[in-house]
Amino acid sequence: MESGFGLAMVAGLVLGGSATFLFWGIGRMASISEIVWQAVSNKQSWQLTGEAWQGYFILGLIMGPLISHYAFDIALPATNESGPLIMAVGGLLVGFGTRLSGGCTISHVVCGLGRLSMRSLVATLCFVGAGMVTVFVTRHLLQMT
Amino acid sequence: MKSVKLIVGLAAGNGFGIGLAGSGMNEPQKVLGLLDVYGDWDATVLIALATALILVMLMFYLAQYLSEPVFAAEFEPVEKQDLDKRLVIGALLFGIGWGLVGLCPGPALSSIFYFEPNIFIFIVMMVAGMFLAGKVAK
Repeated sequence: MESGFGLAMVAGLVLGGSATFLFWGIGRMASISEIVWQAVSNKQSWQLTGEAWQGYFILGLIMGPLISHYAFDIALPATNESGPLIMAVGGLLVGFGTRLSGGCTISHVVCGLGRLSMRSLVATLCFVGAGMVTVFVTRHLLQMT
Repeated sequence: MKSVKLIVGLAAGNGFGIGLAGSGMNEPQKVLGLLDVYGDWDATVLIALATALILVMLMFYLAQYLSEPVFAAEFEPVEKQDLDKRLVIGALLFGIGWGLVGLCPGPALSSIFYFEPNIFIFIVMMVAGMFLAGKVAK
């Protein structure tokens, strides 16, 4: 597990560098959940001409791990252990919650806190706290995994 | 000039996909390990996020010395700072989903090429949840 920490720091620099690139480049926050929402709710996000860049961001995002794997030899993640029902419920909550609160992990933890936003601090405390309670319940009380 | 924005968007998204793959966030077990403070705690994802945050704090601070972004007319204005119920309830619900599966939106999408069938269930339901949130709370 120790060997993963150095890689995690490099990955953190790549994530922070990408957020900086988007902000310095076109002045926008890398709020991934909001970018996903724009990409699925606004058809213009996929046009070859115009200013809506969100669809292209998603394309790049999907290609990223392929490049990581084949160019930088990053190991593929372990198989996901969640069954279809948990994936469906989890996906619904993640989509609903991020849209309602206007941000996901990267949005609030990296971009929001990076901008010293009080809203992002509160959101981060809420979703990290709820996540910890959920894992405590599923792993230790119900022993689902 | 317009298409430059699309290239910046593509490149930034690509950077996020590359970074997420090394951050541990594409690996649900590592995310659940971060949240499992009572059990086998795993600091990998925290280290990635903290490193990203420190860099971004510095770079966003330095951005004030740029009069405008390199390829756009103006910086996105700072979001409203007031707290409301939507923020808290939304973040709590997101946290429950995050704790159930160990995936948030970026890692879910960037996991498509791992070709696990269940990831598509998660993504479809995530998008459905986003549309639902727009209907339920205006």
